[in-house]
Amino acid sequence: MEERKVIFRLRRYDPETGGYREDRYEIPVYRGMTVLDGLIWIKENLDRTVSYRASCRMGLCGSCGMTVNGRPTLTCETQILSLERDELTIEPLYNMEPVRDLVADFHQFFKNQRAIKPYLIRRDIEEQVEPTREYLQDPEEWNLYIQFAMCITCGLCYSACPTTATNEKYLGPQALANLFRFYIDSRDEGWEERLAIADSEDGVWGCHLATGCSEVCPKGVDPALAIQLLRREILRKSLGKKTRREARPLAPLLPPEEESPYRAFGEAPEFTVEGAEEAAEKFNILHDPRKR
Amino acid sequence: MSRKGRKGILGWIIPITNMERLLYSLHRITGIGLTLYLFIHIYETSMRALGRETWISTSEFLDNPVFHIGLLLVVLAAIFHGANGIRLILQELGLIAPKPTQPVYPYRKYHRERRVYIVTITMLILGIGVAIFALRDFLILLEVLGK
Amino acid sequence: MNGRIRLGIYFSGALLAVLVLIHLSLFSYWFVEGGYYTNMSWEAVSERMNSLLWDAFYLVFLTTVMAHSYIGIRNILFEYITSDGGRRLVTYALALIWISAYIYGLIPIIASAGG
Repeated sequence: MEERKVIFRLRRYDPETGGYREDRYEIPVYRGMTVLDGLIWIKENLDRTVSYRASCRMGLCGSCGMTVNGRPTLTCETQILSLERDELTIEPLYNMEPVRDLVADFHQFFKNQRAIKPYLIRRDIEEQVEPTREYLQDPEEWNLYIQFAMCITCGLCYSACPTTATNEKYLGPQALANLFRFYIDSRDEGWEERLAIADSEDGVWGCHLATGCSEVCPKGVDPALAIQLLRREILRKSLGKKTRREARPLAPLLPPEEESPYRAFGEAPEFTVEGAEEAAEKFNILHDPRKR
Repeated sequence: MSRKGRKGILGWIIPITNMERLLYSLHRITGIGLTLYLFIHIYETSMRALGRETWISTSEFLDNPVFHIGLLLVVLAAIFHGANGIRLILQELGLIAPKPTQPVYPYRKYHRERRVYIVTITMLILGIGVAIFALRDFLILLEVLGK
Repeated sequence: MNGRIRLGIYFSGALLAVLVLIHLSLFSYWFVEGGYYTNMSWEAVSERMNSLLWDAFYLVFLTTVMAHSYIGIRNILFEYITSDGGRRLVTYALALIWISAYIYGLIPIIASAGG
């Protein structure tokens, strides 16, 4: 089999000078080799200083997003030969602060994700923390949000969006899609709060439906659709029409003689790792709605 | 908050990943262009208040190939902005939004197909608009320039 | 800042789609020596402007187009100017420009309303 060579042009960010420089590497390509494999090959064989971020190598963790030939891409899912180019230009993700070489800073991205309250909001907080019963949900209700729950927070949509290119306050496609995912969830009761977050210049009204986000999404999340649906809900609300239905009631109480399955686990085991207790405490504060 | 790494005004045209992204860029550029024209047009038509002579001398001043071609561009921009705008009204407000469903592999193909027909219809409206208005004006332009 | 002002761009846009169509189909813009080619001559425009219906049309058209462009340009600027103070400044500065242009645009409509 003849060996094919492809040139990788890496547009590397240098934090010391604050500028970019371009390095060229020629790598042998085999069938099925991904762009990430190419980067790993460069790091192993040609230049150990190349920095990039990657983890699972199978499109699940969402950490290897980079701009390949001007298009935000998950490098682990993109095969070099499928691009049909002899030269690939690889850059860090657009619209995020570069850290070094091909690594982009997700600081603002995750700040936006936190801003939309990515957790179930319930009126009965005691019940939420110490559950006695189950939340009910049928497949139809599940179907309404599962598309937006597929998100792996890879940041490609944020990078492809034209509004984030200038507006650092804009929540971005990912956060808004996630907001809609919780808004439409039949277990969630915080819809008014959520609509108020979305209904701003830097929320859904910052979107101009370029749908670059949906185009580059590796998981078919379609954030543009979520933003459209959010807009429709806001429009309905401002016209005084019915928006979302009430959250479904909890499952009926178990008969008293049957032990609740949630209580059956007993006490948590002792911590064995040093510092784990403090970390757990921190985690609890972060995730306990009573302490928020 | 930092703007480092953000594409800035280049972000209008980078990265062009799909058709709608291109339409977005054109919509914005034509929108700004039409706004500029609007102000010129308001100034130009306000000449009427100054009487017949001013109106005629303005029209004579505007009677040259540069303004003729400019006006043709404005008409084209207006038709594009209008046709694309109708699509945006329908789509952005979720009036023709499909129901979300569970994505099936391969994901990318999946949502492209759902929107492509809307873009096609827009292009069709655009084509008809251009055929009716721009072609007529273009023919008149040729006639005028020929004199 | 309430983003819901953006709803105005959709409603005015839908209205404009009709109004611009009328506007474009009515006028052939091209000029010839010594006056306007078609219905843009002083006499033809005067005749139209004397009709109350056309005056109403221009009033609605001007108002809609000004509102539409104001919201549009404000939206674009809001993507660049993200501080609250800056946005307030943009809102009022643009409003000032647009209202003056609107008044300027009203002149030929009002001037001809009486005949």
